[in-house]
Amino acid sequence: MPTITDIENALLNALKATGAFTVVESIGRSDVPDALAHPAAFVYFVSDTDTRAGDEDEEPPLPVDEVLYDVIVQSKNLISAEAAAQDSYGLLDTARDAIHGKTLGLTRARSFRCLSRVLAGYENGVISYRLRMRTEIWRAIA
Amino acid sequence: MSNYDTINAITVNLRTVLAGLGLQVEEGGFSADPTFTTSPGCRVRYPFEEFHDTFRQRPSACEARFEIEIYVNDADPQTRKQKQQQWVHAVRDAVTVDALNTGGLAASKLVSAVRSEEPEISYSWPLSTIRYRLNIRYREG
Repeated sequence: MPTITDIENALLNALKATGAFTVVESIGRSDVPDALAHPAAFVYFVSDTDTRAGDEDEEPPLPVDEVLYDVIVQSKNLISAEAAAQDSYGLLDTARDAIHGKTLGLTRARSFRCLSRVLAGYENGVISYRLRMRTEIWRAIA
Repeated sequence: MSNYDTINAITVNLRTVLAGLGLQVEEGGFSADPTFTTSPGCRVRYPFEEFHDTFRQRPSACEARFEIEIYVNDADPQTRKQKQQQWVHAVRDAVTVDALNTGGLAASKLVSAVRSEEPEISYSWPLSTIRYRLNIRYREG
């Protein structure tokens, strides 16, 4: 069964593989980068929930955890011709397409779903969006 | 033979038949394959019985309802339905009057009829749950 770190690594690798981001980091495990370059993608674990927690005699016996991660896509618009070509909205689509509908090689995992993309902040020309990603993992009975 | 002895023997025989199909029947736990990928899990429920009582006339009969739940772990839509159908028909073929009139019922042969009702199949990733309802009629001892 994949750990929180395994899943996060899979997400980070998928985002790195796009080649669209200068920085791809875990917020939960990494220090703040010395020089914050853009565009950037940051990943962190949000929650997991046992979706079959309840009466053990009534529920199907295989536990399934719903697992949520957030991906923050951060970009600074129009700082160069290259950045303008890959604008914020394009980055959002790139990030979603790299993850949505894929298991990213994780075992016992359901394909990721991108549940939402929400504006998270805008300051000094830097715009941030939060992509909420969901997967499910089944566990063997303890 | 008391009716309790009979229904208990039917339950034991039913579990034996299901285990013989390769199912992990819950009473023995699911430790052999706790992920249900090769050996589906199985629970046997006993929700009710009907007593066909008569007034001072014998023999009378009882009809016991059993619900068998089978858990199959297969998220692949290409093979999932085949496995669901495989287990429905494996149970239907295996749970017969002759199969239940064994063990403690081998001599008395009190089971007189087995009737399957429509199976109900549901899927919640990654498990298929097959609910198979059986009515088993037996003569009072």
